Amino acid sequence: MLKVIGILLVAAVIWRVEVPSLLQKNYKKELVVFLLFLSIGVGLGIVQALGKPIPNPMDFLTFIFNPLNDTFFR
Amino acid sequence: MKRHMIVLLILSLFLTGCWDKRELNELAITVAMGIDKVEDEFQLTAQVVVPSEVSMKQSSGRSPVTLFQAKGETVYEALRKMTISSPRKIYPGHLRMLVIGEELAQEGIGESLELLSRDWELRSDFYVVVAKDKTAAEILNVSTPIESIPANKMFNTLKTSENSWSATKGITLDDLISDLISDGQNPVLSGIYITGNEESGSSKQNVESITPSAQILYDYLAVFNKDKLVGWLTERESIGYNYITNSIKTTVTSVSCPEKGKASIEVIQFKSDMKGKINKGEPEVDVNIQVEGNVGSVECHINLKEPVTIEELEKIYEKEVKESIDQTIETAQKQYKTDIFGFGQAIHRSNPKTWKKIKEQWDEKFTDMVVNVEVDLKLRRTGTVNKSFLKSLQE
Amino acid sequence: MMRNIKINSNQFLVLVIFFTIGTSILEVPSALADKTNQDAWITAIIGTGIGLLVIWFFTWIALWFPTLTYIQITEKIFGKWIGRVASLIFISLPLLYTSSLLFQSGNFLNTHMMPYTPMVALNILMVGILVMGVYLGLETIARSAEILFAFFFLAFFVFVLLIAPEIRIENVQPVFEVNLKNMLQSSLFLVITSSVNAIVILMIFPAFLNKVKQARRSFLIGNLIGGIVIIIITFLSVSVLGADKTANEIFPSFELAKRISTGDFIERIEVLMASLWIISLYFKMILYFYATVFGIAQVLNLKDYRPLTMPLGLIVMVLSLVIYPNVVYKQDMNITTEYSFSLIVGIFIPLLLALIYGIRKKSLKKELNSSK
Repeated sequence: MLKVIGILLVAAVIWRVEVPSLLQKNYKKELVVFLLFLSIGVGLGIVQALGKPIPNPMDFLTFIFNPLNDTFFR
Repeated sequence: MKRHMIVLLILSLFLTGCWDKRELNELAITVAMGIDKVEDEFQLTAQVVVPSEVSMKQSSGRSPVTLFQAKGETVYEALRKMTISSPRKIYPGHLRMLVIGEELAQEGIGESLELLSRDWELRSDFYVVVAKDKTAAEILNVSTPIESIPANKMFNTLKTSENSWSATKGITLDDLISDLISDGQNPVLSGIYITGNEESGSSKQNVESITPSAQILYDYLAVFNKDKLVGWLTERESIGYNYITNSIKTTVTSVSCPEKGKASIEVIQFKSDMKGKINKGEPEVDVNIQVEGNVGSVECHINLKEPVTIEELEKIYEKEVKESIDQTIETAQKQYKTDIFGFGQAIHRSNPKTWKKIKEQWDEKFTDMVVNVEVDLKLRRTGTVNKSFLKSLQE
Repeated sequence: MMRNIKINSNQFLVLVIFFTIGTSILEVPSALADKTNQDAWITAIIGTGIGLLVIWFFTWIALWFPTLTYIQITEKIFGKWIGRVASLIFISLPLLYTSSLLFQSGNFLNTHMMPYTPMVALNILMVGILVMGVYLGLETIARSAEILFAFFFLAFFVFVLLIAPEIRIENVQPVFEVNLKNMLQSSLFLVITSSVNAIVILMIFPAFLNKVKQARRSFLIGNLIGGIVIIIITFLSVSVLGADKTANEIFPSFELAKRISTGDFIERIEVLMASLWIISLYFKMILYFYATVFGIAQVLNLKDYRPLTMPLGLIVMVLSLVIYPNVVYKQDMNITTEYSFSLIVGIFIPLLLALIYGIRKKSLKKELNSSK
């Protein structure tokens, strides 16, 4: 639980640093993308902190490249 | 004149702080205490530091500690009576160890702890242990190398072994008393015993040879039912106990390899979670253990370059640890019939209403309750090498 | 779109050297000695040679449009939509490898210095300076690389000097025992980690360099110098530790540093030497991370990349904890999936790019001229 609060605090700090200047400059698209990535990051962080498994991108790549791996590198 | 009087009066107010003054040279600093039962009386043994021997500058080669002993019908009486042999008043504020004789432990430790929890001079951060096959006085009568004060040696040994081997458990007076009074949890204590020739153990010559002729060692855990000692766990069961109660910091566990031989797993992160529940009216407990570890040594022929090998090792570890935990639980349930794990408390936390109903018959309920143990190991690293050199030795 | 950032070719040279040395200094000796035993150092020479060809190929592509980054080139040649897909595939490489390197730095400290510190704690510190670096921008990164470069090479020089007395020339004999085919195969590890992955440098070369012609030379020379460092380290590992021990160690060059003992006086300095790998690891990581952040900003046509730095730092941090469940898995991935991934992104797509460029050359030139 403590870890989750920690992540949320970090997210709050990031928000505090970035959002005001983005609003001031009226960068709408940047703001949207920023929020998207921030929420992905916070989401992944919380899932990890709670000890739930996160799908491993490396396993996904292995799945895709398996034919290639088998022919050349094994 | 009047002014001066007032100043004097005000200054004298500060003197009240000196009412209870006791200078360092009036105190016998006690570092370890032993309680035994001898012929219906409590026998109290105090290990007291000899200040001139522990100072760096001048020591005359005498033993750094000395023992005082007294008997009394209560522990408190015995403690005061000690002044008939001690030149200074016993001061237990720096107590590190409390050793309880096995005989007393079998009869019940409750009464003797009462004073210790009440006395204002005591801090409750000392460890309590049980002397196995010996009286407490005999344990306190052994001199030790490295740490010249035996009480410090006992304290530090227990602390170190608890942190890096985990078959013992350091239990302070606070822990012990809260285990004693709470429903649904019975205490355990680490055992302590002497090997070698204890006759010569008390003299300073004991520590003058490289191998001391008498040594103080920790044994595994003593199991209590309420405040009475009912038996001892084996080494494997003691580790199993610590697995269940989340008291492992780091340890090393050996597991069998897929084929013959042994490998050892070093536990680096440990977390165990106990959850009570009621299933069809019967109490049940889930124990969920999550371990992170490294491959510590490989004394068999496996290929550590294959991810599959790691998975295999993880499976074997999980299976073997689960077995030893199940064994521990069975010993507690069938042999000693005492809930040392705090399963009752787990039920109490999760189902307070049902707990009220079954509280009275908890001892019977405990002996045939279902405990689901799950172990999950994640191996992270393999030390500084990957393939074992034993592998090429074989080829 | 961005401020006009320019770094000079000397700074670029230093960055390329750090990128080439990067993680290779820790891992390449072991990977090469695994198959080619005492000839590992020859394999390293072959690998560096092939690597130079790869770099030459990259610069050739990059110089078609000297003012564009790799992502812009991709979009120009492939067209808007296919270009974006290709760009996203391209960006996933530095994203993944930033986390991979982050894992490596944590893993290295965990294995050799602080076994009971949770990797999260070590990685948080590393991500901190990583985010800070990228946030401050390319010029800051380049300048700090210049400063640390002096320290790096001084330490490296001392390292080589101190370990030289331990060399047993018998350990590298017989020379040329392994056949060429095995050597070529093994050298792939070095080629990929040091050169093929350098495709991410096309995010700063040539668009952010003030003198493009000189920069091209810097790119090649930087790769060569980095390669020489790797060759020296590999030779030392094999000749001091022996081929089998080198192959078995996870971090042979650290083991090498443990062997330093000069006059019973200068010894136990391996932790000091560890700063060597941490520095090179850091700059490689930061180049990956910069390419990730900057690349995403460019694909999405953002006016500023910096707001993305911290959120991506968080993502990379979490990824670093999940991508490798254990080191054995990591070593297996290093030589299978990561090979495929790097080759697809670093060789196959650029070749495709070259093919289409050849076909569309005329219309592209016309477009470029008309826009001027």
